[in-house]
Amino acid sequence: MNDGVGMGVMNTLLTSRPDAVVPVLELRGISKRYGGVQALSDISVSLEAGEVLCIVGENGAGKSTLSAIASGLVEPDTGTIIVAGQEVRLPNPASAEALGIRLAPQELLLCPNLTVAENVMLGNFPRTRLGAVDRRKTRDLASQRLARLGLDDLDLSRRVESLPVVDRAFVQIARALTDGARVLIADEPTAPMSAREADRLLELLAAIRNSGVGLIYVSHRLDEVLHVGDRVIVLRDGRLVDHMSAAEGTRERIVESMLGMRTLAPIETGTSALDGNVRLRLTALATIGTLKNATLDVCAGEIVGVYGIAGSGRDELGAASFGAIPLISGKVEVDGNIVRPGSIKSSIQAGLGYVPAERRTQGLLLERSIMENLTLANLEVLSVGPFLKKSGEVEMSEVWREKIDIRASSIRVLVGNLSGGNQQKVLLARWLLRGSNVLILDEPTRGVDVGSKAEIYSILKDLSRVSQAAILIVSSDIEEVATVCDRAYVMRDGVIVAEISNPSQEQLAYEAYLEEKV
Amino acid sequence: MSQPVTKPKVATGTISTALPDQEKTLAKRLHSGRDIRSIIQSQGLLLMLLLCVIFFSTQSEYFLTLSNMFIIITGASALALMAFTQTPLIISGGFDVSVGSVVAMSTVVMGILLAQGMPTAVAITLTILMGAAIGAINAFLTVQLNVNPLIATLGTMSIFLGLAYVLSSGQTVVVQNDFLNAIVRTTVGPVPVLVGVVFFAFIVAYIIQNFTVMGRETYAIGGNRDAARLAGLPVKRLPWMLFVLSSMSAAVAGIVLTAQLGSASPQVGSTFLLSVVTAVILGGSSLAGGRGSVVGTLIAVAILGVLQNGFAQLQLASYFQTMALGVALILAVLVDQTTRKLER
Repeated sequence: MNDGVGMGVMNTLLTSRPDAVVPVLELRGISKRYGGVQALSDISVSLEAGEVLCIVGENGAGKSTLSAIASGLVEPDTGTIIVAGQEVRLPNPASAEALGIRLAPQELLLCPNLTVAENVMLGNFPRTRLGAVDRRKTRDLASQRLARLGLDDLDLSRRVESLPVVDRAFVQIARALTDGARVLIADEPTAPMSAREADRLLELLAAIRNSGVGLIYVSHRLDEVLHVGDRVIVLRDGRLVDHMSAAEGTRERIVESMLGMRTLAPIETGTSALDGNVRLRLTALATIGTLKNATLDVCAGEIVGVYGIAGSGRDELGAASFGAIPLISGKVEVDGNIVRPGSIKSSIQAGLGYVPAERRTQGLLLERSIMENLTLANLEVLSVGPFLKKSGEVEMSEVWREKIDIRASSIRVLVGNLSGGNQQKVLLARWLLRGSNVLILDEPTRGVDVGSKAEIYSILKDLSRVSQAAILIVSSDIEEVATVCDRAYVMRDGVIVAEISNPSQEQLAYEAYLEEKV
Repeated sequence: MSQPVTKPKVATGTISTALPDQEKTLAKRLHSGRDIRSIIQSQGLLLMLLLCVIFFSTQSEYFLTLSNMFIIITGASALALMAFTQTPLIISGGFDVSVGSVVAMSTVVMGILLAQGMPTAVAITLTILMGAAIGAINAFLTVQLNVNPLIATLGTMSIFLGLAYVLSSGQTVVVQNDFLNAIVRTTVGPVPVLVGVVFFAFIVAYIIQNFTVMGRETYAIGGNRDAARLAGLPVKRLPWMLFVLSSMSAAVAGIVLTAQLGSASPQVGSTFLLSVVTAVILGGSSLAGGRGSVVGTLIAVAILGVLQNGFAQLQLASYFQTMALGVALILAVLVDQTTRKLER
């Protein structure tokens, strides 16, 4: 909505404010390219002392790159960085830290085996006269620093590994806020937290802001952004597409800018009764983690999507329905047969196939051949007694390489040497070769090039239309769900909140981001 | 079985026409690189073996005789039997340093049972079952309770070595048994039976590793345990079996040693505390799991056997042998690392 011609004007509006105080941190015309991807193009923002600037955007929009540049982890290709009126270069994190810019990274960098006090003081341990670490002084200094942030109730001698997530984030922030801190960059600190924990963290951030530190806050959660932020900028595909004060911001406007859509409107979601025969039925699935209640059906010949933002319980749903993580309640039925809960074997025997989101760590044997990866789930059929039927294995692998068009010179090529798209095809074919055609695919095209993406979609369409397979796609890619799925469920906070036939991106976004909790 | 999935006819031809050829050459290069590596690796080991043989045959004219070859093989037979089961265990991502203690237990228990006048067949069966039981303890600790295999088997190593000394009061007992004597003395033509046993064991291990479902699953579980689990492989049952097999083979090795020495003594075990694992690593198996072969293990065992025999003939102290072993191990690992780097 705000891209295109208006951009130049907006940038100048953002950066030149003659009447304002000197910003504590200013980025002008920042661009950064990674290989073929323009991660950031011509971004200009400024941050004043005592304000909270929120950065929002979808995965891959450039939020993390921007905070990495501001904290000296990455140098921009072009553009200038100005700290308190001085143009500077930030070639490494130490240079940013020296200028008072502190980062609380997304993946907390703490030593879990050390105590709270030791972690707060890590790298700045006070020494005794003999050069050993002065334990008492470490405790005293750590306790002072925590007290200044109002975190007196943290137990200084407790090991960090035994702390709840929110307290770990507190420790990380306390460590970042040494003397001379002017800017604190918090990259999605609340993603792994419950709503109550997140509230506590937001209180702390407000207190830090009130102490005069400038805050850059990256988050997916729009309520938080509007609650704690003073200003909000929206990134999409590496460009700054919208900018607003929190007062004039609404969740609708942010989501529309984030996804580049016209209007978001609630659309009646109670859909028609299913008319196909149900092949996969999940009833009230819940795990110890974030998945609280998921009930859904997938019919023969249907591709169904599950969409939700990070932390919505989306990815746990896929793993839990295959028995890869334990259930605390609920049941999984395949073609009317109840699968033994938590048993991968029983799931496979019932005809389920599962492609995990992390193909390299959870799916493939990277140092083995395409053939061995293809037949991995089907060895009992490809054997006579204890012996492998090697000729049958070769034959079957060739057939499926051909059918699904895995591009490699031979089935002996190591899977680790294939492109992402071909690797994904191998994982898919592993189940097809077995004859499984109730499939749960977690992020089936993550990190896959456009061409392979289209091919995978067309394979899935064929499977569902021609072979009457039932396919459940779990995805964070809103475009994928909208274009490929006949029907979609939207998850939020561990619960399925909506079911949509022939979903559009607008409907999915509305349900995932905007609609009030049920 | 197969499903009528038609080959996708998407309009992606233009995007990906460049891919196959590129990937083909790359794949070919990497594929042949892998062959070169495995050749260098196995040939490197063979070369090492050859150098040892040449060196010792220049030092002693007796060295390169058929009868001495048989002595070398029978002398390394206990090590070979254990290394053949340790290899798949390490490939699967496991590790067992307790085998030396199982040897000690086995020989002591054999001595005691035979001294009690127990029939030979019963004594042997009970001893092997004892080995299986120790293997089950190792498996329970590592597979079920998730204790690191190095730590778990270091623990059982210490426990059962101690127990072997307790049971025997540290004494050596002479064992005179017709069957055991026969194991050592019987020959088929010029070939001692034990040589046959070693080669039979090797062939069984080779076939299991290369031609069976179990062999394939061993590589898969060691290569990527999560992927293997999600494909429905027995990621617990198989390691259980491999731990039990490892200890059982150590019990058999203990019986063989008892026969060879004509006596039962817990000290025998301490020779094998690390040499089995050393042989497997020297043979090219990766401690990280997923890689290795029983052929490499066979050559590595041969090297160790030749070193032992050769040093004995030169009447050098066995300490030199220990040193040479260390050098060989480090060399082998360095060669492996460099060839892997060259591959990239």
